[in-house]
Amino acid sequence: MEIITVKDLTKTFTYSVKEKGLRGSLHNLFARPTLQKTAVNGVSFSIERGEAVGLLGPNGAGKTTTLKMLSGILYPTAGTATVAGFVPWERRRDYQRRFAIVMGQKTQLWPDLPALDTFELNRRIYDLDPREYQRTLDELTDLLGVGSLLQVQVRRLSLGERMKMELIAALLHRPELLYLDEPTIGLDILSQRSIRDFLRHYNRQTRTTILLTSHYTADIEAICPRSIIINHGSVVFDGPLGEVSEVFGHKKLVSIKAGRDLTAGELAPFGAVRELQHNTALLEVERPRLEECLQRMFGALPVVDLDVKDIPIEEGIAYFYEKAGVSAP
Amino acid sequence: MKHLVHRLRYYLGLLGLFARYSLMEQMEYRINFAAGVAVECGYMLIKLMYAVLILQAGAEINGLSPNEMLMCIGTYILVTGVYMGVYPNFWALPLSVQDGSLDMLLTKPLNTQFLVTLRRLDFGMPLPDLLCGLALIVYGWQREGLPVTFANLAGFVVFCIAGWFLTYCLFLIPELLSFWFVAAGGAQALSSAVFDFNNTPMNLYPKWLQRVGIFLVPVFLITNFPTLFVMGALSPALIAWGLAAPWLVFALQRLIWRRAMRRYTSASG
Repeated sequence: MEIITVKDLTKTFTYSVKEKGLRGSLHNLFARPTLQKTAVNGVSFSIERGEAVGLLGPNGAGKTTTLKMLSGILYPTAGTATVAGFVPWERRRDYQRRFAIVMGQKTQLWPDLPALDTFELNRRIYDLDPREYQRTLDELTDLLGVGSLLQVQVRRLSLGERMKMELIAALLHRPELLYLDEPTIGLDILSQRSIRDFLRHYNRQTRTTILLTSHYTADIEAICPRSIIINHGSVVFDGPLGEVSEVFGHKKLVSIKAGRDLTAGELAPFGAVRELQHNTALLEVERPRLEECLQRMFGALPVVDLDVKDIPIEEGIAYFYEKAGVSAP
Repeated sequence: MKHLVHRLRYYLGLLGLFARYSLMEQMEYRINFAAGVAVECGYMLIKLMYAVLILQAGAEINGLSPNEMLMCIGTYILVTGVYMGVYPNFWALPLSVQDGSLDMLLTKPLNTQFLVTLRRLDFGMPLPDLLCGLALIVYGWQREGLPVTFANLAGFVVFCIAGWFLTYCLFLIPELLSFWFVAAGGAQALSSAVFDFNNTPMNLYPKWLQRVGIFLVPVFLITNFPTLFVMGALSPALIAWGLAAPWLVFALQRLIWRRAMRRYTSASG
């Protein structure tokens, strides 16, 4: 059953430009040329209840803008969206009770107070039953391992601890739908992993629908079986992240280590040389020729070690980022 | 009716929680708290200078005795104090439009304007104003020998509340311009300047300006009508206008608020 249906969603922002220097400012005072930027350009997709979907794309691709329209923060310029039967930007209270949003760069916590005070405020805002609230709070603090930090002022918490508190604040009312915008941005590896583990577990256990944007492929791989890549405001890929690199499915990477220094000339007959450093090299080989190539390689070169792997997912993503003329970050 | 009572309890409960949290936050920064009180005391002294001048002159101006003028100035200081209590929200609004921190507030299932404009309450700055304003009102009222009846007290309080409500709306409108122009400092300064016309009772201004301040930009209603009501100087039509104007301005402000919300573009990131 679909919970999110987006059709031709478009958001255009108007902005003005200014020439450099004082002359530009003076000119700007009287005549201000305005331009339009289409942040989201006719995006369409649908998401089933309980799915965890990743939104990927380079900076400025329109991921966050899409998320903000679906959470009712922004009004679209054109197009339609229905989430759980509601039009998000009508900002109906019944809809607002059904979702939560967590943004890595924005906070809903009161910095000078312990997170527990913000939780209590959310309990009152969402009109939650005190016993039900306490049960959810205990469960979430236990899962995230932050029970001992509830009394600490938010500004004294580390970034990772703060993000865990943001997640608790967002999930106290048990939303059906969770929007996450770069939830692991700036976090250390351990915190990233712990948040990923939590989100994956939470999605599987509660069937809460998750829509996640992140620049970290690891986030998407860990949490989302399905990914949507947006570039220049349009959907350029929709499917499992593992399939992203299938555009390179006809190629394999062969990494070799030899008993002596290698030269580009002697490697060229086997495939395209990607990297070469003394006795190690990385070659791009056509999949149909792989077996024959490996046999010839063992005969022609003093191979000490050899590894065959798929083209990394990041390269598949970069391909889709570049497809519309934007470089991967 | 039951629903209405539930909603009222809900919002009053939240307001109480906002007050508690704001107080807890302010107690974290004692020096800032003390500085706020000191600054407001300075502004209050400037306002008091007018009162001292009026008392020293001892003359009746356009039908207002010095004691009645004292009551008007007291009301002005009192209403300013209550406004200062919510001022941090107003001050922060253009900033939250610029940096997109409004985002999270827009997703909460309650009246957004309530959340945005009453979330942070200041206790340091209003304190001297409230005390001094009340003292001036009581002093002027008692010296003038105006009758202390239930009707007078109720009327005075109702017009004070209406005045605060008007102040809230009139100061919020310029802040909302930040949704269109991002920076709204000029408009804020203009609204403060207009509000400062209340430094002295309206009777001191020419008739045409009084009419503008009563009917067009109803800023004179804020601090003059409570005293004029107690003096019996308000006609039934003016009483009706004094009670209706805040709702009209509120309706206008809500209209602008809704447009502003549609206009909100958030910040990237």
